[in-house]
Amino acid sequence: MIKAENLSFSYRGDEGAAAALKKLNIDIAGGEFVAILGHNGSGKSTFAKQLNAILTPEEGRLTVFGIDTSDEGSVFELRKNVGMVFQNPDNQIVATVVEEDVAFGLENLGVPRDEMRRRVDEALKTVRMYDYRLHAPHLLSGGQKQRVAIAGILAMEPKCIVLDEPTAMLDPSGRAEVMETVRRLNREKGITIIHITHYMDEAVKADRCIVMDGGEVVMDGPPAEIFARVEELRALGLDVPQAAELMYELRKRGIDAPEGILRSAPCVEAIAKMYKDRGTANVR
Amino acid sequence: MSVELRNITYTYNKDEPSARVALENVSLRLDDGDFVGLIGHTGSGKSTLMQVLAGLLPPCGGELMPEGKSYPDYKSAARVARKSAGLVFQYPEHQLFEETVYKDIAFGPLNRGLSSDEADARVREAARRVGVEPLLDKSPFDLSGGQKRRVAIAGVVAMKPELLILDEPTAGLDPEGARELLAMLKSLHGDWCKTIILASHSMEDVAKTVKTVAVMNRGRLVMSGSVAEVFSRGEELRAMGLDTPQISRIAEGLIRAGVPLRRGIFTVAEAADAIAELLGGGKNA
Repeated sequence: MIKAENLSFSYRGDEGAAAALKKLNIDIAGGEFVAILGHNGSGKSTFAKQLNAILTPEEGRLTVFGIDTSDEGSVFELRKNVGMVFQNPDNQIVATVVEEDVAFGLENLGVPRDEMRRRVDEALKTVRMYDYRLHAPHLLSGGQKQRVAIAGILAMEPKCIVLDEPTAMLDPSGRAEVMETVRRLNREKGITIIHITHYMDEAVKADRCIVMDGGEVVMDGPPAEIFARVEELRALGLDVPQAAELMYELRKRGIDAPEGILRSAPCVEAIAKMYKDRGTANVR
Repeated sequence: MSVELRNITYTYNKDEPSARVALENVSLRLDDGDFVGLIGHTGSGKSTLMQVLAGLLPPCGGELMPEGKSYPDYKSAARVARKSAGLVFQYPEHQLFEETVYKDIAFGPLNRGLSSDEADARVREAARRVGVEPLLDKSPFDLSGGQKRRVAIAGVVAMKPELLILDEPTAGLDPEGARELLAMLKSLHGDWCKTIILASHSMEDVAKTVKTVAVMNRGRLVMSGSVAEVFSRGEELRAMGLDTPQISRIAEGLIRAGVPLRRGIFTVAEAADAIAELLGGGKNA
Protein backbone atom coordinates (compact mmCIF):
# COMPACT_ATOMS: atom_id res chain seq x y z
CA MET A 1 0.00 0.00 0.00
CA ILE A 2 3.07 2.19 0.46
CA LYS A 3 5.50 2.04 -2.41
CA ALA A 4 8.65 4.12 -2.72
CA GLU A 5 10.42 3.81 -6.05
CA ASN A 6 13.89 5.32 -6.35
CA LEU A 7 12.76 8.05 -3.99
CA SER A 8 15.42 10.74 -3.52
CA PHE A 9 15.26 13.89 -1.47
CA SER A 10 17.76 16.47 -0.24
CA TYR A 11 17.63 19.45 2.08
CA ARG A 12 18.99 22.65 0.61
CA GLY A 13 20.98 24.98 2.83
CA ASP A 14 23.65 27.64 2.49
CA GLU A 15 26.31 25.01 2.02
CA GLY A 16 24.55 23.26 -0.86
CA ALA A 17 22.27 20.27 -0.90
CA ALA A 18 22.58 17.41 1.58
CA ALA A 19 21.01 14.20 0.35
CA ALA A 20 18.65 12.80 2.99
CA LEU A 21 17.11 9.99 0.96
CA LYS A 22 18.98 8.21 -1.82
CA LYS A 23 17.02 6.18 -4.37
CA LEU A 24 14.95 4.58 -1.67
CA ASN A 25 12.88 1.51 -2.53
CA ILE A 26 10.44 0.43 0.13
CA ASP A 27 7.29 -1.65 -0.17
CA ILE A 28 4.91 -1.83 2.77
CA ALA A 29 1.69 -3.83 2.64
CA GLY A 30 -1.60 -2.70 4.22
CA GLY A 31 -1.91 -3.82 7.85
CA GLU A 32 1.82 -4.23 8.46
CA PHE A 33 3.48 -3.05 11.68
CA VAL A 34 6.86 -1.73 10.63
CA ALA A 35 9.56 -0.28 12.88
CA ILE A 36 12.09 2.03 11.27
CA LEU A 37 15.48 2.23 12.95
CA GLY A 38 18.58 4.27 12.25
CA HIS A 39 20.88 6.77 13.93
CA ASN A 40 20.03 10.47 13.93
CA GLY A 41 20.38 11.80 10.42
CA SER A 42 19.87 8.43 8.73
CA GLY A 43 16.77 9.66 6.91
CA LYS A 44 14.01 8.06 9.03
CA SER A 45 12.07 11.23 9.77
CA THR A 46 12.56 12.55 6.27
CA PHE A 47 10.97 9.36 4.97
CA ALA A 48 8.13 9.68 7.50
CA LYS A 49 7.41 13.22 6.35
CA GLN A 50 7.15 11.99 2.77
CA LEU A 51 4.32 9.66 3.72
CA ASN A 52 1.76 12.43 4.12
CA ALA A 53 3.39 14.89 1.78
CA ILE A 54 4.87 17.27 4.34
CA LEU A 55 7.85 16.71 2.04
CA THR A 56 7.61 15.41 -1.52
CA PRO A 57 10.12 13.42 -3.62
CA GLU A 58 12.74 15.28 -5.59
CA GLU A 59 13.23 12.28 -7.80
CA GLY A 60 11.44 8.98 -8.01
CA ARG A 61 7.93 8.30 -6.84
CA LEU A 62 6.04 7.58 -3.66
CA THR A 63 2.53 6.19 -3.76
CA VAL A 64 0.51 5.77 -0.58
CA PHE A 65 -2.79 3.90 -0.87
CA GLY A 66 -2.70 4.55 -4.59
CA ILE A 67 -2.15 8.29 -4.22
CA ASP A 68 0.97 9.81 -5.73
CA THR A 69 2.27 12.13 -2.97
CA SER A 70 3.58 14.59 -5.59
CA ASP A 71 0.03 15.19 -6.81
CA GLU A 72 -0.89 18.42 -5.04
CA GLY A 73 -4.58 17.98 -5.74
CA SER A 74 -4.68 14.79 -3.64
CA VAL A 75 -2.88 16.05 -0.54
CA PHE A 76 -6.13 16.45 1.37
CA GLU A 77 -7.24 12.89 0.58
CA LEU A 78 -3.76 11.59 1.43
CA ARG A 79 -3.67 13.26 4.84
CA LYS A 80 -7.06 11.85 5.74
CA ASN A 81 -5.54 8.40 5.26
CA VAL A 82 -2.15 8.93 6.87
CA GLY A 83 -2.00 10.36 10.38
CA MET A 84 1.20 11.50 12.08
CA VAL A 85 2.13 11.43 15.77
CA PHE A 86 5.26 13.29 16.81
CA GLN A 87 7.73 13.15 19.67
CA ASN A 88 6.53 15.92 21.92
CA PRO A 89 2.90 15.53 23.04
CA ASP A 90 2.77 19.15 24.22
CA ASN A 91 3.33 20.42 20.69
CA GLN A 92 0.39 18.45 19.31
CA ILE A 93 -2.36 19.35 21.73
CA VAL A 94 -4.36 22.40 20.75
CA ALA A 95 -7.51 22.45 22.89
CA THR A 96 -8.15 22.92 26.62
CA VAL A 97 -10.44 19.91 26.98
CA VAL A 98 -9.43 16.39 25.93
CA GLU A 99 -12.50 15.64 23.79
CA GLU A 100 -12.29 19.00 22.04
CA ASP A 101 -8.70 18.23 21.16
CA VAL A 102 -9.71 14.91 19.67
CA ALA A 103 -12.52 16.62 17.72
CA PHE A 104 -10.24 19.30 16.27
CA GLY A 105 -9.39 17.46 13.07
CA LEU A 106 -13.02 16.47 12.48
CA GLU A 107 -14.20 20.05 12.91
CA ASN A 108 -11.75 21.08 10.24
CA LEU A 109 -13.10 18.38 7.94
CA GLY A 110 -16.66 19.59 8.55
CA VAL A 111 -17.88 16.25 9.89
CA PRO A 112 -21.55 16.49 11.05
CA ARG A 113 -22.05 16.79 14.81
CA ASP A 114 -23.57 13.37 15.51
CA GLU A 115 -20.92 11.63 13.49
CA MET A 116 -18.24 13.68 15.24
CA ARG A 117 -19.58 12.72 18.68
CA ARG A 118 -19.55 9.06 17.72
CA ARG A 119 -16.03 9.14 16.32
CA VAL A 120 -14.55 11.11 19.23
CA ASP A 121 -16.08 8.75 21.80
CA GLU A 122 -14.94 5.71 19.92
CA ALA A 123 -11.40 7.04 19.48
CA LEU A 124 -11.13 7.91 23.18
CA LYS A 125 -12.42 4.48 24.16
CA THR A 126 -9.95 2.80 21.84
CA VAL A 127 -6.96 4.51 23.48
CA ARG A 128 -8.61 4.02 26.91
CA MET A 129 -8.87 7.74 27.66
CA TYR A 130 -12.69 8.01 27.56
CA ASP A 131 -12.88 8.60 31.31
CA TYR A 132 -10.63 11.61 30.86
CA ARG A 133 -12.68 13.17 28.04
CA LEU A 134 -13.53 16.29 30.07
CA HIS A 135 -10.08 16.72 31.62
CA ALA A 136 -7.56 19.44 30.78
CA PRO A 137 -4.84 17.90 28.60
CA HIS A 138 -1.96 19.75 30.25
CA LEU A 139 -2.62 17.98 33.54
CA LEU A 140 -2.28 14.50 32.03
CA SER A 141 0.86 12.38 32.14
CA GLY A 142 3.08 12.14 29.06
CA GLY A 143 1.74 8.71 28.13
CA GLN A 144 -1.85 9.91 28.50
CA LYS A 145 -1.16 12.99 26.36
CA GLN A 146 0.36 10.85 23.63
CA ARG A 147 -2.71 8.60 23.74
CA VAL A 148 -4.92 11.68 23.34
CA ALA A 149 -2.79 12.72 20.36
CA ILE A 150 -3.27 9.23 18.91
CA ALA A 151 -7.05 9.48 19.52
CA GLY A 152 -7.09 12.76 17.58
CA ILE A 153 -5.54 10.94 14.64
CA LEU A 154 -7.76 7.89 15.10
CA ALA A 155 -10.94 10.00 14.92
CA MET A 156 -9.98 10.84 11.34
CA GLU A 157 -10.20 7.08 10.64
CA PRO A 158 -6.87 6.80 8.85
CA LYS A 159 -5.62 3.65 7.16
CA CYS A 160 -2.09 4.30 8.35
CA ILE A 161 -0.50 5.98 11.36
CA VAL A 162 3.09 7.18 11.28
CA LEU A 163 4.65 7.64 14.71
CA ASP A 164 7.95 9.54 14.81
CA GLU A 165 9.63 8.67 18.12
CA PRO A 166 6.36 8.93 20.06
CA THR A 167 7.91 7.58 23.25
CA ALA A 168 11.16 9.55 23.37
CA MET A 169 9.89 11.84 26.12
CA LEU A 170 7.97 9.27 28.15
CA ASP A 171 8.77 7.27 31.27
CA PRO A 172 8.76 3.45 31.14
CA SER A 173 5.06 3.07 31.96
CA GLY A 174 4.10 5.83 29.50
CA ARG A 175 6.10 4.03 26.83
CA ALA A 176 4.37 0.76 27.63
CA GLU A 177 0.92 2.44 27.40
CA VAL A 178 1.66 3.91 23.99
CA MET A 179 3.16 0.70 22.62
CA GLU A 180 0.24 -1.36 23.85
CA THR A 181 -2.20 1.08 22.21
CA VAL A 182 -0.35 1.08 18.89
CA ARG A 183 -0.08 -2.69 18.84
CA ARG A 184 -3.83 -3.01 19.48
CA LEU A 185 -4.74 -0.55 16.70
CA ASN A 186 -2.69 -2.68 14.36
CA ARG A 187 -4.11 -6.02 15.48
CA GLU A 188 -7.74 -5.12 16.01
CA LYS A 189 -8.36 -2.35 13.49
CA GLY A 190 -5.86 -3.43 10.86
CA ILE A 191 -4.28 0.02 10.76
CA THR A 192 -0.88 0.08 9.08
CA ILE A 193 1.71 1.28 11.60
CA ILE A 194 5.02 2.91 10.75
CA HIS A 195 6.87 3.32 14.03
CA ILE A 196 10.13 5.25 14.13
CA THR A 197 12.10 4.63 17.29
CA HIS A 198 15.49 4.49 19.00
CA TYR A 199 14.25 1.94 21.50
CA MET A 200 15.19 -1.52 20.36
CA ASP A 201 12.73 -3.16 22.74
CA GLU A 202 9.92 -1.35 20.89
CA ALA A 203 11.20 -2.46 17.50
CA VAL A 204 11.04 -6.05 18.79
CA LYS A 205 7.24 -5.71 18.95
CA ALA A 206 6.93 -4.92 15.23
CA ASP A 207 6.36 -7.49 12.47
CA ARG A 208 9.17 -6.06 10.42
CA CYS A 209 12.18 -3.80 10.98
CA ILE A 210 13.69 -1.52 8.40
CA VAL A 211 17.13 -0.15 9.26
CA MET A 212 18.22 3.04 7.50
CA ASP A 213 21.67 4.53 7.14
CA GLY A 214 22.75 7.48 5.03
CA GLY A 215 19.33 7.77 3.43
CA GLU A 216 19.28 4.15 2.27
CA VAL A 217 17.72 0.92 3.51
CA VAL A 218 20.52 -1.29 4.83
CA MET A 219 18.52 -4.04 6.53
CA ASP A 220 14.94 -5.19 6.19
CA GLY A 221 13.40 -8.21 7.85
CA PRO A 222 11.67 -9.64 10.92
CA PRO A 223 13.09 -8.44 14.28
CA ALA A 224 14.56 -11.84 15.16
CA GLU A 225 16.63 -11.78 11.99
CA ILE A 226 17.71 -8.14 12.31
CA PHE A 227 18.77 -8.31 15.95
CA ALA A 228 20.94 -11.38 15.39
CA ARG A 229 23.27 -9.07 13.42
CA VAL A 230 24.78 -7.47 16.50
CA GLU A 231 28.09 -6.32 15.02
CA GLU A 232 26.45 -4.72 11.99
CA LEU A 233 23.89 -2.89 14.09
CA ARG A 234 26.59 -1.55 16.40
CA ALA A 235 28.59 -0.35 13.40
CA LEU A 236 25.44 1.56 12.35
CA GLY A 237 25.34 3.29 15.74
CA LEU A 238 22.41 1.19 16.94
CA ASP A 239 21.86 -1.16 19.81
CA VAL A 240 20.27 -4.55 20.35
CA PRO A 241 17.86 -5.51 23.15
CA GLN A 242 19.81 -6.71 26.18
CA ALA A 243 18.36 -10.24 25.82
CA ALA A 244 19.80 -10.50 22.30
CA GLU A 245 23.07 -8.94 23.44
CA LEU A 246 23.37 -11.49 26.25
CA MET A 247 22.86 -14.42 23.85
CA TYR A 248 25.45 -12.90 21.52
CA GLU A 249 27.95 -12.41 24.37
CA LEU A 250 27.41 -16.03 25.44
CA ARG A 251 28.09 -17.24 21.91
CA LYS A 252 31.28 -15.16 21.96
CA ARG A 253 32.23 -17.02 25.13
CA GLY A 254 31.92 -20.35 23.34
CA ILE A 255 28.43 -21.21 24.49
CA ASP A 256 26.00 -22.56 21.94
CA ALA A 257 23.27 -20.03 22.77
CA PRO A 258 20.37 -19.90 20.28
CA GLU A 259 19.88 -16.95 17.90
CA GLY A 260 16.70 -14.98 17.45
CA ILE A 261 15.93 -14.44 21.14
CA LEU A 262 14.86 -10.88 21.84
CA ARG A 263 12.72 -10.89 24.97
CA SER A 264 13.33 -11.68 28.63
CA ALA A 265 11.10 -14.75 29.06
CA PRO A 266 12.46 -16.85 26.18
CA CYS A 267 15.96 -15.78 27.15
CA VAL A 268 15.48 -17.05 30.71
CA GLU A 269 13.96 -20.26 29.36
CA ALA A 270 16.84 -20.91 26.97
CA ILE A 271 19.54 -20.31 29.59
CA ALA A 272 17.72 -22.35 32.24
CA LYS A 273 17.50 -25.22 29.74
CA MET A 274 21.20 -24.95 28.90
CA TYR A 275 21.95 -24.98 32.61
CA LYS A 276 19.89 -28.14 33.09
CA ASP A 277 21.59 -29.86 30.17
CA ARG A 278 25.04 -28.53 31.04
CA GLY A 279 28.07 -30.64 30.40
CA THR A 280 26.38 -32.32 27.47
CA ALA A 281 25.69 -30.38 24.34
CA ASN A 282 26.04 -26.71 25.11
CA VAL A 283 29.79 -26.26 24.91
CA ARG A 284 31.13 -26.12 21.41
CA MET B 1 30.35 20.91 45.67
CA SER B 2 28.34 19.21 48.30
CA VAL B 3 24.77 20.40 48.65
CA GLU B 4 21.99 19.42 50.94
CA LEU B 5 18.24 19.75 50.61
CA ARG B 6 16.33 19.58 53.85
CA ASN B 7 12.56 18.94 53.93
CA ILE B 8 11.96 20.70 50.63
CA THR B 9 8.36 21.28 49.59
CA TYR B 10 7.24 22.88 46.36
CA THR B 11 3.73 23.54 45.07
CA TYR B 12 2.97 24.90 41.60
CA ASN B 13 0.21 27.53 41.47
CA LYS B 14 0.19 27.70 45.25
CA ASP B 15 -3.01 29.16 46.76
CA GLU B 16 -4.89 28.67 43.49
CA PRO B 17 -7.50 26.05 42.62
CA SER B 18 -5.02 24.51 40.16
CA ALA B 19 -2.38 24.05 42.89
CA ARG B 20 -0.28 20.94 42.36
CA VAL B 21 2.25 19.60 44.84
CA ALA B 22 5.50 18.77 43.03
CA LEU B 23 7.83 18.12 45.97
CA GLU B 24 6.85 16.93 49.38
CA ASN B 25 9.33 16.93 52.21
CA VAL B 26 12.33 15.95 50.11
CA SER B 27 15.69 15.64 51.85
CA LEU B 28 18.76 14.78 49.81
CA ARG B 29 22.49 15.15 50.24
CA LEU B 30 25.05 15.23 47.44
CA ASP B 31 28.72 14.96 48.40
CA ASP B 32 31.86 15.71 46.43
CA GLY B 33 32.53 12.81 44.09
CA ASP B 34 28.91 11.66 43.91
CA PHE B 35 27.51 10.57 40.56
CA VAL B 36 23.78 10.20 41.01
CA GLY B 37 21.06 8.95 38.67
CA LEU B 38 17.62 10.38 39.41
CA ILE B 39 14.74 8.25 38.19
CA GLY B 40 10.99 8.65 38.56
CA HIS B 41 7.82 8.64 36.46
CA THR B 42 6.84 11.73 34.44
CA GLY B 43 5.55 14.33 36.88
CA SER B 44 7.28 12.71 39.87
CA GLY B 45 9.15 15.94 40.63
CA LYS B 46 12.58 15.25 39.11
CA SER B 47 12.81 18.47 37.12
CA THR B 48 11.48 20.57 39.98
CA LEU B 49 14.02 19.01 42.33
CA MET B 50 16.84 19.80 39.92
CA GLN B 51 15.83 23.44 39.67
CA VAL B 52 15.71 23.72 43.45
CA LEU B 53 19.18 22.14 43.67
CA ALA B 54 20.55 24.69 41.22
CA GLY B 55 19.10 27.58 43.23
CA LEU B 56 16.73 28.56 40.42
CA LEU B 57 13.44 27.78 42.12
CA PRO B 58 12.78 29.04 45.64
CA PRO B 59 11.14 26.18 47.57
CA CYS B 60 7.84 26.79 49.37
CA GLY B 61 9.23 25.09 52.47
CA GLY B 62 12.48 23.55 53.66
CA GLU B 63 16.04 24.66 53.20
CA LEU B 64 18.56 24.71 50.37
CA MET B 65 22.01 24.24 51.89
CA PRO B 66 24.93 24.61 49.46
CA GLU B 67 28.13 23.18 50.92
CA GLY B 68 25.96 21.66 53.60
CA LYS B 69 25.72 25.00 55.40
CA SER B 70 22.82 27.11 56.59
CA TYR B 71 22.50 30.65 55.24
CA PRO B 72 20.70 33.63 56.80
CA ASP B 73 18.16 33.73 53.98
CA TYR B 74 17.22 31.91 50.77
CA LYS B 75 18.72 34.65 48.62
CA SER B 76 22.24 34.16 49.90
CA ALA B 77 21.92 30.36 49.76
CA ALA B 78 20.67 30.56 46.18
CA ARG B 79 23.56 32.83 45.23
CA VAL B 80 26.09 30.21 46.41
CA ALA B 81 24.16 27.39 44.76
CA ARG B 82 23.90 29.19 41.41
CA LYS B 83 27.58 29.98 41.38
CA SER B 84 28.73 26.42 41.79
CA ALA B 85 25.98 24.52 40.01
CA GLY B 86 25.38 24.22 36.27
CA LEU B 87 21.97 23.03 35.11
CA VAL B 88 21.43 21.49 31.69
CA PHE B 89 17.70 21.64 31.00
CA GLN B 90 15.73 19.13 28.95
CA TYR B 91 16.35 19.65 25.24
CA PRO B 92 19.05 22.28 25.93
CA GLU B 93 19.68 22.70 22.20
CA HIS B 94 16.53 24.83 22.04
CA GLN B 95 18.48 27.48 23.91
CA LEU B 96 21.28 27.89 21.36
CA PHE B 97 21.17 31.41 19.97
CA GLU B 98 24.58 32.70 18.91
CA GLU B 99 26.01 32.96 15.41
CA THR B 100 28.80 30.48 16.04
CA VAL B 101 29.33 27.55 18.35
CA TYR B 102 32.31 29.40 19.84
CA LYS B 103 30.24 32.45 20.77
CA ASP B 104 27.48 30.31 22.19
CA ILE B 105 29.84 28.44 24.50
CA ALA B 106 31.62 31.70 25.43
CA PHE B 107 28.40 33.44 26.47
CA GLY B 108 28.35 32.08 30.02
CA PRO B 109 32.02 32.59 30.92
CA LEU B 110 32.00 36.16 29.51
CA ASN B 111 28.75 36.91 31.29
CA ARG B 112 30.38 35.82 34.50
CA GLY B 113 33.08 38.44 33.98
CA LEU B 114 35.99 36.32 32.78
CA SER B 115 38.53 38.14 30.57
CA SER B 116 38.42 37.20 26.91
CA ASP B 117 41.67 35.20 27.28
CA GLU B 118 40.31 33.26 30.24
CA ALA B 119 37.00 32.73 28.46
CA ASP B 120 38.83 31.56 25.33
CA ALA B 121 40.72 28.94 27.35
CA ARG B 122 37.47 27.79 28.96
CA VAL B 123 35.65 27.55 25.63
CA ARG B 124 38.42 25.49 24.05
CA GLU B 125 38.77 23.19 27.05
CA ALA B 126 34.99 22.67 27.34
CA ALA B 127 34.69 22.06 23.60
CA ARG B 128 37.53 19.54 23.71
CA ARG B 129 36.06 17.65 26.64
CA VAL B 130 32.58 17.56 25.15
CA GLY B 131 33.93 16.64 21.71
CA VAL B 132 32.76 19.65 19.71
CA GLU B 133 36.15 21.29 19.08
CA PRO B 134 35.99 20.89 15.29
CA LEU B 135 32.62 22.69 15.26
CA LEU B 136 33.65 25.94 16.95
CA ASP B 137 33.40 28.13 13.83
CA LYS B 138 30.12 26.66 12.61
CA SER B 139 26.66 28.04 13.13
CA PRO B 140 24.90 26.02 15.83
CA PHE B 141 21.91 25.80 13.51
CA ASP B 142 23.82 23.83 10.87
CA LEU B 143 24.57 20.97 13.26
CA SER B 144 22.88 17.62 13.78
CA GLY B 145 20.64 17.08 16.81
CA GLY B 146 23.32 15.19 18.72
CA GLN B 147 25.93 17.85 17.97
CA LYS B 148 23.61 20.65 19.07
CA ARG B 149 22.97 18.81 22.33
CA ARG B 150 26.72 18.61 22.97
CA VAL B 151 27.28 22.27 22.15
CA ALA B 152 24.55 23.26 24.59
CA ILE B 153 26.11 21.08 27.28
CA ALA B 154 29.53 22.58 26.50
CA GLY B 155 28.04 26.01 27.24
CA VAL B 156 27.25 24.85 30.77
CA VAL B 157 30.47 22.85 31.16
CA ALA B 158 32.49 25.96 30.23
CA MET B 159 31.29 27.56 33.47
CA LYS B 160 33.24 24.78 35.18
CA PRO B 161 30.42 23.98 37.59
CA GLU B 162 31.40 21.92 40.61
CA LEU B 163 27.95 20.41 40.53
CA LEU B 164 26.65 19.47 37.09
CA ILE B 165 22.92 18.82 36.92
CA LEU B 166 21.42 17.32 33.77
CA ASP B 167 17.73 16.81 33.11
CA GLU B 168 17.32 13.84 30.73
CA PRO B 169 20.46 14.56 28.75
CA THR B 170 20.02 11.58 26.40
CA ALA B 171 16.31 12.04 25.54
CA GLY B 172 15.84 11.85 21.78
CA LEU B 173 19.44 10.87 21.01
CA ASP B 174 20.12 7.70 19.05
CA PRO B 175 21.80 4.81 20.90
CA GLU B 176 25.30 5.75 19.83
CA GLY B 177 24.73 9.43 20.60
CA ALA B 178 23.48 8.45 24.05
CA ARG B 179 26.45 6.12 24.63
CA GLU B 180 28.94 8.82 23.66
CA LEU B 181 27.23 11.42 25.80
CA LEU B 182 27.24 9.19 28.87
CA ALA B 183 30.91 8.29 28.32
CA MET B 184 31.67 12.00 28.05
CA LEU B 185 29.89 12.69 31.36
CA LYS B 186 31.87 9.90 33.02
CA SER B 187 35.10 11.50 31.81
CA LEU B 188 34.03 14.93 33.13
CA HIS B 189 33.23 13.51 36.52
CA GLY B 190 36.02 13.92 39.02
CA ASP B 191 38.43 16.50 37.70
CA TRP B 192 36.17 18.93 35.83
CA CYS B 193 32.88 18.56 37.70
CA LYS B 194 33.18 17.11 41.18
CA THR B 195 29.58 16.06 41.46
CA ILE B 196 27.08 15.06 38.77
CA ILE B 197 23.38 14.31 39.04
CA LEU B 198 21.37 13.30 35.99
CA ALA B 199 17.72 12.46 35.48
CA SER B 200 16.88 9.70 33.03
CA HIS B 201 14.06 7.44 31.91
CA SER B 202 16.49 4.82 30.66
CA MET B 203 17.21 2.32 33.40
CA GLU B 204 19.88 0.71 31.20
CA ASP B 205 21.74 4.04 30.87
CA VAL B 206 21.47 4.73 34.58
CA ALA B 207 22.71 1.24 35.52
CA LYS B 208 25.86 1.53 33.44
CA THR B 209 26.74 5.16 34.18
CA VAL B 210 26.12 6.33 37.73
CA LYS B 211 27.32 5.22 41.16
CA THR B 212 24.15 5.80 43.14
CA VAL B 213 20.47 6.07 42.27
CA ALA B 214 17.74 8.23 43.81
CA VAL B 215 14.09 7.44 43.08
CA MET B 216 11.26 9.98 43.04
CA ASN B 217 7.61 8.97 43.24
CA ARG B 218 4.72 11.45 43.40
CA GLY B 219 6.87 14.27 44.72
CA ARG B 220 8.65 12.21 47.34
CA LEU B 221 12.14 10.78 47.43
CA VAL B 222 11.34 7.13 48.08
CA MET B 223 14.62 5.26 47.60
CA SER B 224 18.28 6.00 47.33
CA GLY B 225 21.31 3.78 47.33
CA SER B 226 23.81 2.03 45.11
CA VAL B 227 22.78 0.87 41.66
CA ALA B 228 22.66 -2.69 43.00
CA GLU B 229 20.53 -1.79 46.01
CA VAL B 230 17.94 0.16 44.03
CA PHE B 231 17.64 -2.15 41.03
CA SER B 232 17.28 -5.19 43.25
CA ARG B 233 13.87 -3.78 44.25
CA GLY B 234 12.29 -4.48 40.87
CA GLU B 235 8.75 -5.08 42.09
CA GLU B 236 8.58 -1.76 43.95
CA LEU B 237 10.06 0.12 40.99
CA ARG B 238 7.52 -1.40 38.59
CA ALA B 239 4.69 -0.42 40.93
CA MET B 240 5.92 3.17 40.54
CA GLY B 241 5.78 3.02 36.74
CA LEU B 242 9.52 2.48 36.53
CA ASP B 243 11.49 -0.56 35.61
CA THR B 244 14.80 -2.28 35.98
CA PRO B 245 17.19 -2.87 33.08
CA GLN B 246 16.12 -5.85 30.94
CA ILE B 247 19.31 -7.68 31.91
CA SER B 248 18.43 -7.59 35.61
CA ARG B 249 14.92 -8.87 34.84
CA ILE B 250 16.57 -11.77 33.01
CA ALA B 251 18.93 -12.36 35.95
CA GLU B 252 15.96 -12.32 38.38
CA GLY B 253 14.11 -14.78 36.13
CA LEU B 254 17.08 -17.14 36.04
CA ILE B 255 17.41 -17.13 39.81
CA ARG B 256 13.69 -17.93 40.07
CA ALA B 257 14.13 -20.74 37.55
CA GLY B 258 16.73 -22.30 39.81
CA VAL B 259 19.92 -21.18 38.09
CA PRO B 260 22.34 -20.34 40.94
CA LEU B 261 23.30 -16.91 39.58
CA ARG B 262 24.64 -14.36 42.02
CA ARG B 263 22.48 -11.34 42.78
CA GLY B 264 23.34 -7.77 41.79
CA ILE B 265 23.95 -8.18 38.06
CA PHE B 266 23.12 -5.04 36.08
CA THR B 267 25.20 -5.15 32.92
CA VAL B 268 25.21 -7.60 30.04
CA ALA B 269 28.95 -8.26 30.32
CA GLU B 270 28.66 -9.24 33.98
CA ALA B 271 25.72 -11.50 33.21
CA ALA B 272 27.49 -13.17 30.28
CA ASP B 273 30.61 -13.86 32.39
CA ALA B 274 28.61 -15.29 35.27
CA ILE B 275 26.39 -17.46 33.07
CA ALA B 276 29.32 -18.69 30.95
CA GLU B 277 31.06 -19.79 34.12
CA LEU B 278 27.98 -21.65 35.34
CA LEU B 279 27.63 -23.38 31.98
CA GLY B 280 31.27 -24.37 31.96
CA GLY B 281 32.28 -22.28 28.95
CA GLY B 282 35.57 -20.40 29.08
CA LYS B 283 35.71 -16.61 29.24
CA ASN B 284 36.08 -15.07 25.80
CA ALA B 285 36.68 -18.51 24.37
